[in-house]
Amino acid sequence: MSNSGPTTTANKSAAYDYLIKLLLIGDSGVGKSCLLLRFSEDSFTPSFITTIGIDFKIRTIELEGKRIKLQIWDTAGQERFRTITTAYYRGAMGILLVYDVTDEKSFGNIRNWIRNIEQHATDSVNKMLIGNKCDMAEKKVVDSARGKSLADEYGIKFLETSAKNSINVDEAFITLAKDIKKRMIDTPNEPPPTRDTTSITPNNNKAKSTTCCK
Amino acid sequence: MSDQQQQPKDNQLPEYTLSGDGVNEPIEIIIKDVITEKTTITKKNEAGPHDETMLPNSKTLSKTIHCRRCNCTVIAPKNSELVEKDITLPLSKNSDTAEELRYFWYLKDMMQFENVAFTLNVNQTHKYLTCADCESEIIGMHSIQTKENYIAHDRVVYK
Repeated sequence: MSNSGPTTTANKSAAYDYLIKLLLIGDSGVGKSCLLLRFSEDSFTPSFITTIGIDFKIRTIELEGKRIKLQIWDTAGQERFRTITTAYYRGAMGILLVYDVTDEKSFGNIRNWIRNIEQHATDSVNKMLIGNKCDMAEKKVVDSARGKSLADEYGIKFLETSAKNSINVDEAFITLAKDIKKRMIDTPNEPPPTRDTTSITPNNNKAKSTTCCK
Repeated sequence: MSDQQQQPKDNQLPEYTLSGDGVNEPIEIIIKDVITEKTTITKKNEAGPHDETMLPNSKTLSKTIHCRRCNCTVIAPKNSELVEKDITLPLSKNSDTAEELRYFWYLKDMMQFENVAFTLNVNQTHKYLTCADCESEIIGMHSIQTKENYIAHDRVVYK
C-alpha cells in the first residue's frame, strides 16, 4: 500500500485494492485460452464467441484480505504471427509461460518466449512455467522433471495444469498473483520496477544472465 | 535433460529478432461485426428490471448480477446504474440473429466488473462482453471510444 509505485493501482471507488496485469504466453494450440475458461467441458463446444476471440478478462479474487482485480490478457492469436509486440507486454506484472506436455516443440520454444520477454517486458516481471494438458498422461512427451528443471534454471515456479479437468488452474493464477503482490506491495524496500514504458527502449539488457545456452 | 533438445530447430521457431530499435509494428487484430446486413434484428421490448434490483429511490444496483448460464458473478451491488438505451446485441448460438434491447446496467469503469470477458475489437468501435467463466453468450458491450460498459438486463440473473 505504501509503495505501490507505478504498478498496482489502489482504487476505492470501484471497491478493489489492487490491479494486477497478467499475460499468457506460449505457442499456438497449447491451451492458453482454455486456461481462462472455468467450464471447459461446456465451452469445448465452440461457441461463436470463441471465433470472435477474447482479448482479455477481468477476474476478482481475494488474496490475504485484499480485493485484487486480475486483468488477464490472451495473445488472441498474435503468437501465430511469431512475435509478440512490445505493446502487449506494456504494464505486465506477471507472465504465465505455457507449453503443452504432449508437444515437445512447444516446450522447446519456451526458451524463445523467455528471450522475447527479456527483450520486451520489464526485468522484474514475475514469470511462471505452466505445462498444460497434464490430463493426457498417455500422450505426454515432456515429463514433469524436465519442466521443473527448466523452471529452476530460470529461477521461476512451475506447475502442470489441466484446463480440461480444472487441475491447478486457479492455483497457477493465485500463486503468480501472490508473488506479484509480495514483490510490489508487501516488500517496500525493493526499488520500484522500471516504468513499463521504458521497455520500449532498445537494448536495455543489463540482466541477460539467464541466456546461458547457445 | 540433455541440452540437445533445447537447441533451436531453425525454421520451426518463432522469429522474435526485432532488430536494432526493438520497436516493431503492433499487429492489431480487428474483427468484423457479427451483425451484418443479413442479420435479422428483432426488437425485444423486454420488461425492465424489478424495483428491488435497485436501491430505494435510485437507479443503483442493489443485487448481484450473475451469468444466467453458469452463475458466475458479473457485477457486485452498487457498482452499476440502470440506463435505458437502444443497443443491439447478437444472440449466442445463432449469429445471424440479434436483438435490440432497452435496459442496460451501466459501468463507467471496466474495473467495476467482478468477472467479465472482453472480445477483440469489433470494427474499431466496440468490444462485446461475455461471461468470464463460460463465454456462452454475449451479455453486453464496451465502447472503445468512451470506455463505457453496458450489461443487458435481459441476459443476466439477479441474486
